[in-house]
Amino acid sequence: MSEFEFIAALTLIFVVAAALLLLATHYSLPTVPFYLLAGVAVGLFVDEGQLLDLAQWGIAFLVFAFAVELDPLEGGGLRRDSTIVSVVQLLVTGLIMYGVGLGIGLDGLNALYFTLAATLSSSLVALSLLERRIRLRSLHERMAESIHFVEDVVAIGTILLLSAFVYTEGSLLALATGVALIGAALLFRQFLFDRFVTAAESDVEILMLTGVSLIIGFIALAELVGVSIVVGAFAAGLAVASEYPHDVEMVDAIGYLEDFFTPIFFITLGALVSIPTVETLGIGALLLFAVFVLNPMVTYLVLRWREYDSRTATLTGYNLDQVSEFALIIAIEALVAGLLVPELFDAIVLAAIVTMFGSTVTERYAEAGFQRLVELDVFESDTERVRERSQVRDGLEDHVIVTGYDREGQQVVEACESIDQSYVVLESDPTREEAVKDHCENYVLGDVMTTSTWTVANAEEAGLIVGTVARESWAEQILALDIDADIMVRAVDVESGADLLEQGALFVAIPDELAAERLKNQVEAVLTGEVSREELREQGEERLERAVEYGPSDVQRLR
Amino acid sequence: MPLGGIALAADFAIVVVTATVLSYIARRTGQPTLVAYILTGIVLGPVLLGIVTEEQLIEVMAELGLGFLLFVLGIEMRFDRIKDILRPIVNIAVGQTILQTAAAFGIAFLLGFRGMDVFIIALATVFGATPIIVKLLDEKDELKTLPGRIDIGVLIVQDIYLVIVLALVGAGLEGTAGEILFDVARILGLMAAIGAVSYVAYQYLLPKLLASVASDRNVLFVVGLAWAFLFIFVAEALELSVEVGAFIAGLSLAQLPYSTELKERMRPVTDFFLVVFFTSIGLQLEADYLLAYWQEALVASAVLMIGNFLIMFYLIDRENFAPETSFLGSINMVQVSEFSLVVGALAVTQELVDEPILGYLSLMALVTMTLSTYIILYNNRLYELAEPYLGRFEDEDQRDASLSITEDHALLVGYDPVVRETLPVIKEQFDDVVVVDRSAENVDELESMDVDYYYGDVRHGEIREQADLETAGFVLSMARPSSVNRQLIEETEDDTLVIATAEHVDEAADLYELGADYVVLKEVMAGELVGEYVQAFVEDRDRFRDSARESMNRIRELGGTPTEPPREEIGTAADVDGGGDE
Repeated sequence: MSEFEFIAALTLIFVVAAALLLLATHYSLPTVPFYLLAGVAVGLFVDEGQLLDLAQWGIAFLVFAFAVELDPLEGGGLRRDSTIVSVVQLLVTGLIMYGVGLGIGLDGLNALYFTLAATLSSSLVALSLLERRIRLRSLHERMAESIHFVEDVVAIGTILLLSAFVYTEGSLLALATGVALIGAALLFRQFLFDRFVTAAESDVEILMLTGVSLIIGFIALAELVGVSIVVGAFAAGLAVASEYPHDVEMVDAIGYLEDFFTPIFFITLGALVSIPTVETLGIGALLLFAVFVLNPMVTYLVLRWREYDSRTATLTGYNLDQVSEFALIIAIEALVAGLLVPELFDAIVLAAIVTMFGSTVTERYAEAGFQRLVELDVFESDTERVRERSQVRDGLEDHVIVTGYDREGQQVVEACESIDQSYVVLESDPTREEAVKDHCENYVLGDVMTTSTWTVANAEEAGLIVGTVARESWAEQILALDIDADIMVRAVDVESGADLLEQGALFVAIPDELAAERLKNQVEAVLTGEVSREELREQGEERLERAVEYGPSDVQRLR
Repeated sequence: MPLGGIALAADFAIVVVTATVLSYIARRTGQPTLVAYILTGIVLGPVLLGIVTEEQLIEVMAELGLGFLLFVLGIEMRFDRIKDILRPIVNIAVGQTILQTAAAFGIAFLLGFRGMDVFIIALATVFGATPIIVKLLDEKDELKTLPGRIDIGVLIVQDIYLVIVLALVGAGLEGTAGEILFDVARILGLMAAIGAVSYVAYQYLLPKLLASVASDRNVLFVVGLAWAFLFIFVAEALELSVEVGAFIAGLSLAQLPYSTELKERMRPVTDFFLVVFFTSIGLQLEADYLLAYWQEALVASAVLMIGNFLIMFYLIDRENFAPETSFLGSINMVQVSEFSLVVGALAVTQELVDEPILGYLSLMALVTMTLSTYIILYNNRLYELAEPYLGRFEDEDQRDASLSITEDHALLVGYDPVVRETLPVIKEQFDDVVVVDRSAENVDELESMDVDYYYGDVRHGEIREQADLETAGFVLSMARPSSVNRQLIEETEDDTLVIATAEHVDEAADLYELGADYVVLKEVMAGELVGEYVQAFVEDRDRFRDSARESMNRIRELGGTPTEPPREEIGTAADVDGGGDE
């Protein structure tokens, strides 16, 4: 490929990528499947083999960025349950799909690749979906994220195992060195990383080069000991301490490089797909079945068994319904190594495209779909079950119903208690169950989105309902209740606020607006000298202390 | 073997790692990273180790590096930045280019160069390396001083000249005078055509296009890249140099409000590929070539450093600036531009000159860049030494005073409802209000307001620089994520009043720790208020209902559902419980 052809290929890639991104932003769709799709088209014109080098850098930066952002502490109380779900899901779906794979005539190894594509789901696509939505995470979203984390770790482990036992002669030594590589990365992070950053004196250019050199260094080590470059890039990411202030500049710089190479990777990947045969389509259909039906079903059953409500169990499953980009990385590695049947590779990429788009659709309509199923009595009424687990004084009336016992909920509860107003707290998060039982006189352990919860809370006789979380679907559910109580809800912005007022809310609290009002007075007071800076600071710190006592809020924003 | 072979034994990987190591050393010795990159090529190339050759991937990456460099350069052409000193700057730049080209020509001729060699040397020897000057002045906080601004202005004008030189050298400069003239006309014609296309795009397409994507972190970046590639490709297809296409692509984006943000996003990618580019220059050199004219290079460096200083001093002084301004403005510019190497490398590719000439230029670049770093670092001390002799350049009506840095102003970051609401209060208290915001939706509103407004992410150094963060008297930041606010707090003076927002309580505690005067926890505030409203409701429902209805009209109005009462007369949220603050 001449220099001109190279530039022509890159021009094509970026122009197509830009056009698709415009489309994706406009319709709030994820970008990865667009890139893949574009690749399929670009593949008709461009000799993708030459781009493979650059595409590999795409993988490297992608995995690096993933590892930098990796935060094992996130997910908190859900970690145990999500691990159980992932493991059971990987085992059950895994075994079934492995059997299916063998059944359709794949050899053992290809059946394994087939299984991986069917079971693992994608954190990148899911993350961008979550980001585009309102900046809140409900229980099922947090659960899905936590499951993704486990699956991603499993994926990295699988890649390590594959490269130790399949692509090379197969030795424990390769495995051990792979693990040692990760250990070395953690040691580097602990003892050396800071020194480099200090020596760079926050020169962005040098920090960027350091990051790239780390990637190169660890990949070179990986190549030397014969494990996958993915493991090397992952180790490099772990070697970077992502705490302030280092992350701001180095990670940003690397992030932009990632943005440059990632489209090249995904588009090249798509370009590798050939025109699908009947066989490809057949395998693809099986993958779709596994992703859209089998996986959510298994997730649902496991979560129900772990005593989650049916809504959380259903929606979690439909947050996980896409082929993982780690599965794609595994697939391309196997293809280049000549181990993967081309039809299977094509099927995996095509299934990834369909499921990544499909996931956006299910994400959008899962809630409505679930409600519909409830109306159709697919899920049996659990009023009695909810009542058993709850505590509501008989004959309670004219009470305040508070949705959720997070920080905002506690603030309302406290306000009620200080004036002896009776209240009921609704809560569905198992991690807050204890706190609710300990502190609240009346509570319902059920989901806001299900009617049984409101029946148990005696909503018909309530005087006021306070939606403490600015989740639009919650607010709409509350407003749709056929009751006389006044309703106070929260909204993220004035647009949805106005919408909720239209639907009959008495009062809509918008944090931005409320804070603006209050802050305006404070700023004026301190600028005119009415309040001293010290006083202002004291006020703030007092408020902070109170907030810390309440514990975490449900309102969390993603990075 | 699966994927791989990209790091181990890959030339490109060796280049980057070596460049990293050397740039740390450069940092230690106060040298610009550029010197480290050229040295990387010399170390790895035939001069020393000979383990890396110019393979294809390196060539493409070097080409991209150069393309992106010119793209970024084009984006930087914001004429409003230098318009208040535009006339003197154009005078200085034109004079400097002519005089210094003549000086380079004279020196080269006296040193015994002849023919095309002397012509290329004269064209390529341009003084003033943008990356070095900008970086060092930035670190010394002198970018916004008058000498700094003169230098930047001169460099910008000079860059336009260089783009033309590049286009000419890129076209080969061959044949009879008539043919060359025809070539020049063809190049200028094509440039004009591309320029016209880009101007039309700037007028009609780009503002809308970018406004629709600017709010997304990587979409703006990818669209910018695609734009650059499109022009690079067209230029390449028309056999114009890649650089010209990239420069014009950048130029068409420069006057839009998103330019600084886009430039900051392009920078890491540009830096990354530039490493490869500057290394590739070193790679092209054989030891013999580099040292072929070492004596000549040293003589020329010495003569031209002094000569260029005198030329600049004369030109700046002639524009009626104070001696200090003239002195500092010219002593910063005593190094060969990185473009000398670009032009030289291109001339070698076009077979206009042989490698030894590139060696001569490279050696000059290395020497002058290295020395000038120290000169810039100690420029003020040098001025003190020279001051006694500069008295006779004092003049009555010097124009220096007219420019100043914004000081003691209010800096508002992130134009959200909180800032929107608070802005009138702040405007009453401060003469200068600067707003930095990265949301494309607010561009029109903010541009129409009586504030200094910068579009972009405040985490980029240049945006903070433009907003004069360090001299702000009051900072109100609603920026996310919280790490940005940490940076803001750390960079402001201790006595600056800083109010910032945090999302989590831990972050808030951190910000207080760092010295924030007040940390806004919107959710906590809102939660408290909702609690208060519940109490108000329970105490007197009817009164609450009335005042709620009133205050909610405001939300209806802002949210798009029209209501009758005008905005001034309606109650606000705080009125619901009597309007009291704590």
